[in-house]
Amino acid sequence: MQMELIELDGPVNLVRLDGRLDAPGADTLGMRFTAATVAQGRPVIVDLSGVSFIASMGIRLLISCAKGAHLKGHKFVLFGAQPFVQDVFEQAGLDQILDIAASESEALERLSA
Amino acid sequence: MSAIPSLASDELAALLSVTRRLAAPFKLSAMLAEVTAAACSVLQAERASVWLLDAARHELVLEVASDIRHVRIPQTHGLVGACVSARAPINVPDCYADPRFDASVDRRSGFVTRCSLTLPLVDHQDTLVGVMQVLNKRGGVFEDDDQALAEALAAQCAVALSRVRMTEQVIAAEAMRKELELAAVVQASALPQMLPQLPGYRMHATFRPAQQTGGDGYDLALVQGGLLVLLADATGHGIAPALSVTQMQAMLRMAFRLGAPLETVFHEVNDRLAETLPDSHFVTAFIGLLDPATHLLRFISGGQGPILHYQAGADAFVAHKATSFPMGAMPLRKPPKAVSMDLAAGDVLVLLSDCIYEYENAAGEVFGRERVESVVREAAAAPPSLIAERLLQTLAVFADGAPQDDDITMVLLQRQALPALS
Repeated sequence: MQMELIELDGPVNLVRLDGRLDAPGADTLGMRFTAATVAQGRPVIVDLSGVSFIASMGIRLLISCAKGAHLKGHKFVLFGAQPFVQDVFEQAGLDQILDIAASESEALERLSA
Repeated sequence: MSAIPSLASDELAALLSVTRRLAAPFKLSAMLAEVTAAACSVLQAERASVWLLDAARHELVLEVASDIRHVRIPQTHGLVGACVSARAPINVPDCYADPRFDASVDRRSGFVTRCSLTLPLVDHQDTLVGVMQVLNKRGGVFEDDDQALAEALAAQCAVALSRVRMTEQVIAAEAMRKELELAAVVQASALPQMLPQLPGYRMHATFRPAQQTGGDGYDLALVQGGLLVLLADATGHGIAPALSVTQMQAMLRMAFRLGAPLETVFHEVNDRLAETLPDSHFVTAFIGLLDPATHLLRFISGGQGPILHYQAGADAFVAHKATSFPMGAMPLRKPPKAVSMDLAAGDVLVLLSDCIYEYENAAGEVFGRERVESVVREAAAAPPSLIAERLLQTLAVFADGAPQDDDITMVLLQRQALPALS
C-alpha cells in the first residue's frame, strides 16, 4: 500500500492511495495516513482511484480518520473510488458516514461548502 | 578456538560455576546480567556488555550494561560492528587510538574506555547471535590468556542465548494459540444450539470459522415479535471481536424477548457498541424480525450487505444494501429506519458474510454476487441445508485451493412452497 501526500493551495492536503486497503495494507498505511489526514489539521481530499480492493480494516481506518478530522473541525472527502470499492461503500451504508465525491473537482468544491 | 593454557583452579571454578548457571532455564535479562557479571569477575574487567544481533533490522542492541539500556546501532558500527563483520575476537589495548572505536556510548554514560576485548557470540549452529565486550582490564590490558577465557565464556553465552530466545518464541506461539482457541470457544458458545421450529418455514445456518477467528456470529431465535434473524461480523481477528459479537447477541436476545421495537433496539445497541468498541472498530450486522403470521420480515442492516431476497414467483433476486452504517462506528444521529421484505411461498432470504462474496481465487477473481445468485436460483426449491451445501461446494471449486482467511457464515430462511393443487 503506497501513499503520496501533495499540498495544494489553501492549504489543502491531497492524499493519493495506491494498492489494496485490506488488513496488511491498512497496517502499512496506519500512522502516516492518520498524520496526513488528521494531525495536520488541514482540510483533506483523498484520491482512491489507485485502490483496487477494500475490506473491513481498511474501512475502519477511513472511518477513524473521518471521525478524527471531524473532531478537529476540518473536512475529509474521498473521491475517485473504483466500481468495486464504490460498491462496497454503498452496500455497507458507508455513504452515510463518509463524505464521498465523484471526482477531484467535486471533492474540492465540498471543502468550501 | 585457541586452547586454554594452564587455567588457575579458581579461574576454572569461576568458569564452571557460570556454565552451570547458564545451563539452567533463564529469562533473557537475568541471563545477560549473569554473563556480564561473570565476565567482569573472571576477566577482571571494569565493565562488560552483551549486544544482541537483530538480523531483521541489521542492528546490534545493547541489552545490559550497568547504566545504559536498549541502545541500538547499525550492525557495522564501531568495534562491536567490526567484530560482527570479522566473526573473530578483537583485542584493542588503546581504544581511543583505534579508528573503529565509537566514543558516543562513552559520552552518553560518562565512562571512559581504555582497552577492550570484543568477542563474537556464535551458537552451536554457527549462527552469530551477538557480541560480548569487556572493557578496562584492571591493572593493565587484556592478554592472550584473558582472550582464551573470554572465548570459553562467549561460547557458553552464545548457546544459552540461543536457547533462551527459542524458549521465548515457543512461549509466545503457545500464548497466541491459546488465545485463538479461547476465541473459538467464545464464538461457538454464543451460537444457537438448535435452530427453532417455525411452521411454514425452513432455516439453516452454516458457520465455518477461519483459523484466526474472524469475529462472525449469527442467531435465529423465537422472540416476542416473531423470529429474530441475525448475521454479524466484527472487525479484526481473535478474542476481542469474538467477545463484542457475543455481547451484541446477548443484548439483542434480551431486548427482543422483552418485546422492544426493532428500531429502538438497533439504535441502543449501535450506541452502546460505539461507546465500548475501541478506535473505530465496528460490527456489521443484519437484524431482522419475521412475523410468521403476516410473512413480513422487517429489518435494519448496519453495514451488512448485500441482502439477497430470492423471489420464487419472479425467479429473480431483490438485492438490498445496508440501511445504516456499520454498528458501533459512531452513535446514530437520527433514529434508524427499517425496511420490509414480503416473503412469498418459496422465497428465500440469503445472508452471507462478505468473505464469501470477496473470496479470491489464485487468478485474482472474486466469487461475487452473480455466482451466489446462480447457485441459489438453481437450488431454490431444495431445503436450505442443501442450498448451503451447494454454495460451499461451488465456492470450494472456485477457490481451487486458495486459503480461507476470514469466517464463512451463512443464514438461509426459506418460506415453504404451498403444496401444489392436484
